Amino acid sequence: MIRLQKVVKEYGGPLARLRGERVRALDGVTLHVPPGAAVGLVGPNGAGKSTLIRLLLGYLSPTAGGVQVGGMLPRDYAERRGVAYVPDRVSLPPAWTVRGTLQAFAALGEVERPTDRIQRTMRKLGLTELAGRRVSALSKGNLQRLAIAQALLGDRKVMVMDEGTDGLDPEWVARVREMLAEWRRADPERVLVFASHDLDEVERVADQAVILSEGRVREVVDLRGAAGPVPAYRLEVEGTESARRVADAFPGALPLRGDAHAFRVEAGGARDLTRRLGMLVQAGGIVRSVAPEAGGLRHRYHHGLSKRVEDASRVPDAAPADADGREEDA
Amino acid sequence: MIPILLRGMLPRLLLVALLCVAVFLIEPGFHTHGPAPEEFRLDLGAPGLAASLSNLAGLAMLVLLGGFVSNDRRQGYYRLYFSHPTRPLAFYGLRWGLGLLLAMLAAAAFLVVGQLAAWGRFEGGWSGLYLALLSAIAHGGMIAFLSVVLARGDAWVALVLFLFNQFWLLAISAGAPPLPGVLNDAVSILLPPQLALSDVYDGLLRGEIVWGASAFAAGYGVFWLLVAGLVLKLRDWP
Repeated sequence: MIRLQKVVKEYGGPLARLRGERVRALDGVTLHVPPGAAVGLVGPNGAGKSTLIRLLLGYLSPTAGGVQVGGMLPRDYAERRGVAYVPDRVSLPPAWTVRGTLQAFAALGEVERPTDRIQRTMRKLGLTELAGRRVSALSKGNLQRLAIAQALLGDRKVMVMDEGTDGLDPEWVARVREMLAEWRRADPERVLVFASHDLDEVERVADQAVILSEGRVREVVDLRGAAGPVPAYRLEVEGTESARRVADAFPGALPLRGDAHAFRVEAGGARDLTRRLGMLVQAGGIVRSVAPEAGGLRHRYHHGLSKRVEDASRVPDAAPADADGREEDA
Repeated sequence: MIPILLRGMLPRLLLVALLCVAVFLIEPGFHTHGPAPEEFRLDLGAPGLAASLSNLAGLAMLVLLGGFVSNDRRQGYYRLYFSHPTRPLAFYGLRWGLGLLLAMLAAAAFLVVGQLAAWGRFEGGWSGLYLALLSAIAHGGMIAFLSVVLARGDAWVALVLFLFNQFWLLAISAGAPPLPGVLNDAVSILLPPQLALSDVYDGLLRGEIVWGASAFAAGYGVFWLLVAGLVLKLRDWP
């Protein structure tokens, strides 16, 4: 659905080139996002996430390499099919009202039965009571919800979010997560690409996480597939006897620092976890708590970023991986 | 989409209404009492209103379309606009077309209401709208180009050029071109075609259409409009 082939994007005009001041925001990025995938772009500030997103919308052209969305140039795709887009900084004419904004975007997006659709979307995003309020009078969170509402107005195949839940409170972040899942369920071909600094959120929403740094893909982490990391849990048991029996049920269990009765354990899935916990309980172990270990991606993220230090001492054109998990030829 | 665009243009329409009042106050034909001298009879009558209509339509285009692209680029409004299935060329083309329509409606309203207010009756002068149309196209092309290439201040630059152009025309009409030979011609070609519009005006007073000057005036606007379209198509968005 989305293909980036050795994409380079540099900023700065001819004068900047003469002075050697051109900034390379993306440096040979190769990525393939298949239909139905949800891909999270993670990386530090200046990693190239927003540039990549603007390339996907066709607002920027690559300096070198190619970008395709649905087999077309991104601008052509957006002009024909539209892209559900939620930007990081929402900019709307301040005099527009919430309802007027949605009416304008429904007209731009040629949405069928716009009145119904607008009502439904406003209700879903909690904007009904703000319908007459001007954009200039909206809080950041409400403005962000309005941006999400306009993105959900049309029936799009591709959604692109750039820090799309930034400014929302945790309750709305959870609700939007649910909406995105619903949006994806409605059409299994739909593709979601989103940039975020919230690694936990990326783990919850994305199938794959692309770790970007200094304009390069450092690693593509498969968060759902069989090739992905084995789910890990934090297991806490009661008493020394129970702690002694953990290793029988969970070979490779690692005691956690600072707590003699807490372990990092791995299980192949929910069934495997239940089976192993059953073994532990049957052997007389007492389980105090078990929780998914947060930060699986966090670990990979830091590992991915540390690669840039290694890369600095290596040949610059290392083969980037694609979001299918395959290695691309350099 | 058109009602939404029109709603967005409402504050600018109010400015155009104020502009109409200002032009009414300085239009000599509306403030001449008693019979006009024979040599100024046409200039001060209904046909002579064409000059004011031309200025009004040109300025109205600057007011209605000033910043119509640059503002969207600078403020980032385009990001959401064009994520929907909308072609920027069609979107801004529609806005330009609406600007032209509103400028012409303002000129027509000025022609009728101005005469009724000043003379108590309508004496005609519809042909003046032809000059107004040419002026609107010429100035509309200029503002479209400036709005596409400049990040800000395109309306002010256009206004300065408009005023400078009046001075330029006066200097040339008085037989004192401000610059020597080729430079003078070059500036005349780059500025909105006041000399061509002036020729069309003279033709209208004689009751004829000067096709060459008309084509030059309209061609000037269309040329800059096409260049603006090309730049819009090729340029990255910030």
